[in-house]
Amino acid sequence: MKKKDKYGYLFIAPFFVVFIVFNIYPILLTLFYTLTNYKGYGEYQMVGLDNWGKMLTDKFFGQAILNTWKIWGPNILIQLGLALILVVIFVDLKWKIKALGFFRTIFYLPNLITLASVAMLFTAILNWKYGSLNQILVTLGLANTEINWFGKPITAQMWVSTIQAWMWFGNSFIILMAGAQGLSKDYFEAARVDGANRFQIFFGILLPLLKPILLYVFITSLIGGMQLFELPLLMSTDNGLGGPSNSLNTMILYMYNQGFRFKNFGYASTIAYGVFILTAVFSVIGYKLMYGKGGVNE
Amino acid sequence: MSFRKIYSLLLVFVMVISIAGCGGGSSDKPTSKQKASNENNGTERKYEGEKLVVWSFTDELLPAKEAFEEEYGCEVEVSITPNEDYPQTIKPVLESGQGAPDVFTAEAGYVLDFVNADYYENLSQPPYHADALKNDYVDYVYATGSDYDGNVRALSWQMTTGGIFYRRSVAKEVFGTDDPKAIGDKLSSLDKLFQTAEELNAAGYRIFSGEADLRWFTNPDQIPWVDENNRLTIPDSRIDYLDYSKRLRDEELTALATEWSPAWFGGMYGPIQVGESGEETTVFAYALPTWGLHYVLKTSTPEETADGETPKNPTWGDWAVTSGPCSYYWGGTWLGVYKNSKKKEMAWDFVKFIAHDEEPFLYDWLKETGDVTSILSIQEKYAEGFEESFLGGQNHVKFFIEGGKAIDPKRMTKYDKDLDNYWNSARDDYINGLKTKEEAIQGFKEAAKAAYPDIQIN
Repeated sequence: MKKKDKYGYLFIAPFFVVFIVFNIYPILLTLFYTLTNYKGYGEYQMVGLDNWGKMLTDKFFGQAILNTWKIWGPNILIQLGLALILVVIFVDLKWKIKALGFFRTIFYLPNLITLASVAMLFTAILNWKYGSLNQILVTLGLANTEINWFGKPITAQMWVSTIQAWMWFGNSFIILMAGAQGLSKDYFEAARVDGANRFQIFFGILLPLLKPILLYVFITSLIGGMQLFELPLLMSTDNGLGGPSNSLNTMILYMYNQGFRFKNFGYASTIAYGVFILTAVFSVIGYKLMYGKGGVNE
Repeated sequence: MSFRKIYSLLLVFVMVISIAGCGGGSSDKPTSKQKASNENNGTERKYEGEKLVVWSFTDELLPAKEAFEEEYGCEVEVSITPNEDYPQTIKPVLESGQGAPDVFTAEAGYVLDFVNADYYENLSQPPYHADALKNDYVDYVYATGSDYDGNVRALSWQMTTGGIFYRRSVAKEVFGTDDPKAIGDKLSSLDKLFQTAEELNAAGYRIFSGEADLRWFTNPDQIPWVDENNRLTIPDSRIDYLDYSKRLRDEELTALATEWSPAWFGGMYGPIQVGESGEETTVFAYALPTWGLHYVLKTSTPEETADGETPKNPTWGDWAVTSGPCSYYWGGTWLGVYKNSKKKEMAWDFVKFIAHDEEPFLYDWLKETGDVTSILSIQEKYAEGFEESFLGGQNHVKFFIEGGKAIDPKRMTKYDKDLDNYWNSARDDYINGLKTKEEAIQGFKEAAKAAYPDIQIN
């Protein structure tokens, strides 16, 4: 029998060591904490499934799930919509837009600004009585008086959603554009010869062929969106608690506050698992909705 | 958001800026540091060659670090983490003891949490006997550094009493006087404060820059959020605050600037325009504590000039400080010895060096910074002769010392910061018309229960 060389295991060991120490161990430890009343320090007792029961009946967690969706939902529509429009413009054979690299950089720029700066920037722009947006609106006569954007849940959520879309549409555009450039020009040329208009080309050729890429953008955005945290933390009106009226209290913000602020570490661990389960479920649902049973290759 | 971003954010959270040493400026007058070193000539350098590790959320300790190094011939390493991340950063370290500091500070927002979490050495025990120092301190400062059993865990050299800073010229024009006592009388209760605010409005001024200033005067009877039986208490004065806030909004008595926003600072050095449709107005007053004078009011200036110089606040000398409807405090730094430190004696000497002993460092340092001290034995001598030019020559230290004595230490609970935030959130819901008063109060109770399940709520 041929002797097996075991050196290979040695070479792949570093990855597994790091993976076990920094991924598997924390994941299992967090699972263990869900069964305790650990406060992040000191002694703790086992409390069974109390934290899980609490999470299922927690009104604030329910609100946090809804808030996350209310912010992520419009954001993905704007983000993908805008990115797709740009892709259509750039792949159009007739228009032949030049300097794609330049535009790609420009569209991607918002993504490079640190979130803290983005939050500060928009907090200043959207300030009720002193923000430049309200000053422009009033000067142009588009509003009678300044709008208190962060005085109402709907406008606060709308703005966080818009900022999120503004930051990420460039990223989606780059990925979709790369996908579109990989498509054979023959389809588009043939369609043109057959007399198809832009709408027919978009819905009949571009969109179906881009579906796998769209799915990728959609699912990664969903996973990222479910973890929405920094903007709500930095822009909420009550020092990071998720105001106005709890409307910016997203799932991860709620987990963070429960764990690090209120020191309900055990419960925060449970929320972490809750968020994981929900994200997995939503991802599967999103996938099925887009592709039905057969998946991408249907 | 990508995982990479979360990860880099975490890295930033745990990043600690180590300060190896700072250069000091020179002046004709000997500084506290120089004096400490001069007096040390010929004395034993007790901790020669040793190193003390100090963690803090503030750079206030840096002069003390240098003076202590000179005095004892040792090295003091001060690591500073921004306040927002400090509790989360230091807790795991104190828990595990790995790389833990010998001395660490705590801010008012979480000091009660820290002193009761058994991180600090019990300084009431021998050989420290810090409870013998009780009478040396203002009550609230001493009590805040003590655990629930009354053992001293942390000390502080400062107190952060609050007052109302106001513009003398506006006071003279509207009320005919700029005397702090007379103005204090006009602000001595919330009803009087509103009457004064209306007078100011009629004259084209706004009493405060923003609505947040009112929050300091909501609990004149100093009733703690949570009583000794762990029950949530909402006194009538706090409920009245919701109505007062609504009146403040409806009558537009303030300039509606958000605290810490550019407009809020703008009111400190000139008129500001309230919205595009509003008129230009001068803000009459700001509710700020001791540190507000040096770090906020004085440093608020118009933009740099073309030659790159920052102009002095043009309203310099036109301010005074007086009392509001009740005493309050805002912030503060406490420090103590880590319970598992291997250099407890040295650590305790450092704590006393900055937070108790008048000589060789503390007194002169206080004089340099104008920080208001909590140490009773030196307060009187210290307050003597202060003439603050920013406040038109007023002795603000005397004023703040009086205010600090009125603060009841029993009013403080470890829940204060979060419950205050939630209460202000309930106020916003009410004044923005999102909820009725009853709904807002109910929402507050539910949020408090979700955050702190151990609190009993009726």
